[in-house]
Formats: sequence, structure tokens, C-alpha cells
Amino acid sequence: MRADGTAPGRPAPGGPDPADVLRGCARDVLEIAEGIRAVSGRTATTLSAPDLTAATRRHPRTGLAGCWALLRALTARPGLGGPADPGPRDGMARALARAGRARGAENLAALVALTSLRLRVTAVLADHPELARTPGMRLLTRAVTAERDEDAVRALRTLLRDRTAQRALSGLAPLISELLSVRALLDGPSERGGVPEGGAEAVDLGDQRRRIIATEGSLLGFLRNIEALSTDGRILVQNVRGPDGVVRYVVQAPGAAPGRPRDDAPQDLVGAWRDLCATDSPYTRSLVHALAVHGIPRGAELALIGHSEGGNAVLNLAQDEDFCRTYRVTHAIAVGAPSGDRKPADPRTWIATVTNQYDLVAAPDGHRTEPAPRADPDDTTRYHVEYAGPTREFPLCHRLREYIEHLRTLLPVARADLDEALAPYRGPVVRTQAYRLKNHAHPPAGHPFLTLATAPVRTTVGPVEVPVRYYDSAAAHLCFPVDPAAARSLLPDADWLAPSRLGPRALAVLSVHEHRCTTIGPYTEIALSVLVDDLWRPRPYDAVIDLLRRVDLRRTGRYVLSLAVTTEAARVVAREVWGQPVLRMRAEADLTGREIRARSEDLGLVVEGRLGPGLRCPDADRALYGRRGTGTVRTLVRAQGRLRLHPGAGVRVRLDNAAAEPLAGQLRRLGIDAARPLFVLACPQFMAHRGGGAELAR
Amino acid sequence: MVTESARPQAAQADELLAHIGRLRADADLMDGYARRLRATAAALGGCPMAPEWSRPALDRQAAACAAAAVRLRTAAEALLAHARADRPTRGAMSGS
Repeated sequence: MRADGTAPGRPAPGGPDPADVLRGCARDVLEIAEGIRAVSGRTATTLSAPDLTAATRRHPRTGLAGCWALLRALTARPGLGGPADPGPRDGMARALARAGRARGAENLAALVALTSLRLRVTAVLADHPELARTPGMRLLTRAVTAERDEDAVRALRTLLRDRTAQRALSGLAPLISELLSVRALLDGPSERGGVPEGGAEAVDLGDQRRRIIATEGSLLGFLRNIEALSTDGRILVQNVRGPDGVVRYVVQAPGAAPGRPRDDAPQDLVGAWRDLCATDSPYTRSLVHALAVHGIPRGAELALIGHSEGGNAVLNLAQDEDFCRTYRVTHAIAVGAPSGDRKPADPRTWIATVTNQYDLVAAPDGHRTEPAPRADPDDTTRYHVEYAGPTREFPLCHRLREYIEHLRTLLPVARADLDEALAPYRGPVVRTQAYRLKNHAHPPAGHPFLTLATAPVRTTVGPVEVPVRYYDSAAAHLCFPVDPAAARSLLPDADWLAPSRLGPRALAVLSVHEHRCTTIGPYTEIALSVLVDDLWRPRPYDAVIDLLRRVDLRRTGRYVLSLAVTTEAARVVAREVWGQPVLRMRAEADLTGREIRARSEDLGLVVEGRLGPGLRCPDADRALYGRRGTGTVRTLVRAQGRLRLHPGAGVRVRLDNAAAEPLAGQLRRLGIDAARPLFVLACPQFMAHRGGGAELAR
Repeated sequence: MVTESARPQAAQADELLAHIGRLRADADLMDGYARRLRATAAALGGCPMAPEWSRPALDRQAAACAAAAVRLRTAAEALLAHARADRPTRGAMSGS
């Protein structure tokens, strides 16, 4: 505690918010980095200028001295340290930049940009420490915290070029514009992007989801519709008969669903920024396509409602003169979207925004201490609601469910105002149609491995598309030789289910998965399984021979003894679709680097250590067994990644739980509660799909 | 035998002078950046959340900016001497 009674790291009373100070400094420093880059560019241009070359030929003595002085100014350290961003035709500057990097040096602009990014990351984490656990922030902090600044710049450059890291980085909404600026400083402006494309096709909602779609027009009804759709990138158009008998149209556009794939999802940072901030995004174009397909007559009245990217897209549409000439946009309501001061193309359009000050997507510069002043108090076509929600935790405070709850409980006046404004749309819904957005410029996420036919399977939490697809996961499988009798004692009491033997021992596998993006949302799982023989015709060495077989032809498999997952959706799918004994637990895992770490406070389990040298091995396709009623359920898992086999010496399991269940007792009975594995199969990034469980009559 | 006309040579000399002017302006800019980086380091000194590394790093980078400014001015002087040598008939050049 400081003398003024405040805790260290917190603002002194009446003083500026430290995070605001950091953000301001980061902005200044980034501006300076851009200035240094421009100076460096001009100096390099002078050095290779034809006039100087020609004059040097005439007077070599003074000319060479001038060139040498320029070269020193451009490359010496301390100083500019080398040319930043050499153009494609500037051969000399490019050669100098390469030579500098080859000897481990970095130019001053890059180093200053790194300082700016570090300050910005510190500011974001000060307000939202929970972001430190996100995959993108972990990758970023690992890169920028290298011991030497030069090493950090190199690691950052590599990270920003890494295509596989783009998905994780694209999730860093509050840092996207800074990352793009820094990338431009490190590598020159991006050439990628081109003209954004968009498309949409009508899709069926499915019985279960259709039942939860609102049949009467109201603000919360429309927002709940958006929430119901926000899992898979579909939008909704509803025809509503108003109190005056006129049919009007309500376009409902969902936003980003962190940790879930979307066909129109941005493929890189530029795409993420464009969707979030730019006026001409693929999302906006896709909405126009959807409305054309819906057959809305020219001049019809439209209300546009959106959350997050969807909110941005509907505000874009309200600004689009062509669109507003075709349709009469009466209302545009954006929830949790960066609003700015946007002017609608039609001055009669009523624009409303609802923003939680802690929402980093809607207010990327962090919360303000006072609500933003209204631009024009007499302007009745604008309605802005800015409030401080009960939690700062991101992305929780960005979720539409939170906004709906806040509008219901904390902001009844704002909700009533919005409902009153939407009065022409308060009536029975006469048609509901969903559209799936497409981005034709890119293949779908995970293509071709995850381009699969799917079918919905009913569960208690709604329909789940099977196979479940995993777009971005990491795993570590810790393999322990165990006593076959101990393994047998943990399997169901049936003589046809026996652990596979590898010599005198059986094999138990403790698997930790970090699923960062899946069709059932992101989650972490910890599973204990035992390798078992074919249920009908067990043969010796099947387990070894199976390694050479395709997964669908394998006889052996892994019987899942215990499974812990972190989300309700994952729990329900594991239990109801795959028949696995599953519990919902708190757990976190970081499996992306050489140092792996996973812990679950609820289980009292810690897995940590450093992976030694590894050998590339075939992907970890596998057959998993579970039980449903009196039958066995067999599930095939196909994976695509770079699996490596590591010695287990550097990794250990620690169990601080005296309880018998769940998992802890099984680990103790197998003797692996404080053991080191024989080997570890690890993969920091892979894709996978798990089919529906096939019931076997055993 | 190839001879260079007086006009292109004069134009090249003018271009050289323009480069020299830009180098001097850039040197002033770099001095300005050095001052701004030091001011940022000072502002972070009063910020309880500022990371420990930030002030030394900004001071280091401010020193690099100042050093770059000196070198840019040196280069401008060297180019000016070269421009004078390249256009002796025009008499003394301005800009020093």
C-alpha cells in the first residue's frame, strides 16, 4: 500500500489512469517509429540517387567521402542501424538490410516499434489480465519478451509472417491495429488483401434452433436471435408485420464468436482488421447479397441490428449511399461494436449503439472514466448507451449474452427507449430465413482436411454438427507402461475387454488437449485412457501392427477411463455422443512451446516439464472407446498436424489430491500419480475431426 | 568522345542540394524524436504500471536518435563539400 492509501499499480486518487498513460506513450512511440522509418527510407534513397552516383564519377574523392558519410548515417549503431522497409526495387537498401540482419542487428525503427508494442501489451494486460491466457497473447508475449531487443524483433517478425499463427493473432481485437502498424514497420506495408468478396446462401435453421427464434418483434428478441446464430456465422432476416399492418424487414447480424470457426472468418490480421474497422468488409458485402436473395422489394423499410463485427457491418450498410437508395434504412443498432462518429447516408436513419466501456472490441482504447459526450444533444437520430458493466473480463464482457443481460437488468431505461424506437417493428414475425455468409476470396477454414459432410445430432444442449471439427488444437499424450492387472481393474467388468500388452506391460495414456477453435467452442480437456485389444478377436501384437493400419481398420483402441473438460458443450457432447465418462472441471493448458504445462485445480493435477528432442511421427489418428448403457461406443479421431515423439524424462505428473474420484484414484492405482512418462507424443498445433460414436453390441 | 552538357550537370547539382536540405531537415526530426522519447521515458517514470525495462530502453533509443541526427548532419556536410567540388564555377554555395 502506498502512502496515499492506494495499492501499487493502481491510479493515485485524481491522477491519470496508468493504463491510459501507457496507451498514450505507446501511441507516441509508434508515431516516432514511423517517423524514423521515413527518415531511414529517405536516407537510403539519397544514397542510391543517380545524381549522387553521376557526381561521384566526376569527383570521386569528395563523392566517395559523401557516400561513405551517408552509408554511416544509414547503418551505424547507435543510429538508424540500417534501412527500414527497403522497397522492392531498392537493391542496395535491401542488401544492406539483409547484411544487418545476418549479423544480428536490427534497425532503429523496428526497435522503437517493438517498444511501442510492448507498452501497448502492458496496457492491455493491466486492464484485462485474463487476456494473458489467450493463445494469441501467449504467442505474442513469448515473441516480444526475448532477452535481447534484436532477438525480440526477429521473433516478432517471424510470428507475424507465420500463417498458422494468424488465427490466434486475429483474436487480439485490442491489438490488431498496432500489430498491423508494427508489421508494416518490420516488413513494409502489406500487399495482401485485394478487393474483398462476399456471398450468402439461404440455409435451414433446423427444428431445435427454429424453436428458440423469436416470433414477435422486440429488441431483446432480435438480440436473442443473434445470440442463437452467433455460433456459426449465419445471419437472419425476419419479415415483421408492424402495428400498422405494413411488412418491414429486420436484418440480424452476429459478430465474432471467439474460438469457433466461420466460413467467412478473416484469414489473417488484415482481414480481421478489415472486418472490425473498415467500411468495405466482406461481411458487409455478404449482407447485401443475403438481402438480395431474400427478395426485399426496393424502398422497403429495414431495421439493421448487429453485434460486434455484425454491428460494424450494419453501421457500414447505413453509411452506404447505394444501399440506402435501394432500401429505406430506418434503424441501425450496433451492440458491442466500434461505433465512432458515423454519418448515415440517409439523414433520417436512427443510429443507436450500446457499448460496455470494458469491451475491448467496442472500445479498444480501454474504458473511459466518463461517458462519451453526445456529439449534438439536439440530434434525435442518434442514441448512444455507454456503461460500465459489472465485469471487466474480456471476452466475457464482449459476449452478446452479457449485453442482453445488462439491457434486461442494468439498463431498463435504455431498453425501453430502444424498444420504443423500434415500435414499427413490434409485431408478429411472418417469415424467418437464415443465410450463411461466404467469403469467396478464401477457401473455408481447415480446407481440405476439415471440408466434410456433417449431420446434426440431438443433444440436451441443442443440435451438434458431427463430426465435431477442431481447427486449432494442441496436445500432449503422456504414455506410461503400467501393470496390466491394475489397468484391467479399471475397465468395465467384461471378459472381452482387456488391456493390450506391450511385452509384460499395458499402456496408459494421459492426454492433455488445448482446443483453441472448434465447432463446439474452445475448451481444454484432460483424459486418461488405456490401450485395449479388439473386442471380439484379440490377437497378440495387434497394438503394434495397428500402427501400420489406417485408423478405420484398426482393431485396438483406447478406452477412456476418465475425461475432464472445461465447457458444458464439450461435456454434453463427450457424454451423449461419444459415451465417455466426463466431468466438467476448471483446467488450463499451454502446450504450444517446448515447455508444456497443464493444471487443473479441481483435479489437483499438474503436468509440466520440458520436451526434449523429438522425432516426427505419423499423425495421432485413433479409435476411442466409451460406454453407453450396455453397449460400447467407438469413435474415430482423425488428426492432421506435426506430431513428434519425445522422451518422457523432462515431463512429470504431480497429483495433489487425496480423493479417490475422479481421475486421481485411477492415476494412483495405475501408479502414475507422480511418475515420469516413458515417452510423450506432442503436437503444438493440429486439426482434427471426431465422428459420431458408433454403438457396438458389446 | 562523350561530353556532358552544362545544363544536366547543373540540374544534378540542384538535386544534390535538395538532398542536403532533406538530410538536414531529417537530422532536426531525429533530434525531435530523441526529445520526445526522453519525454515519454519521463512520463513513464511517474506511471506505477510502467515496466522496468521501458525507461532504459527509451533512453537508449533516444540516444540512438540523437546519434543518427549527428551522423545525418555529418553526411549533409560531406555532400555539401562534394556539391561544391562538382560546381566550382558557380561560386560559393549557400546552405552551410
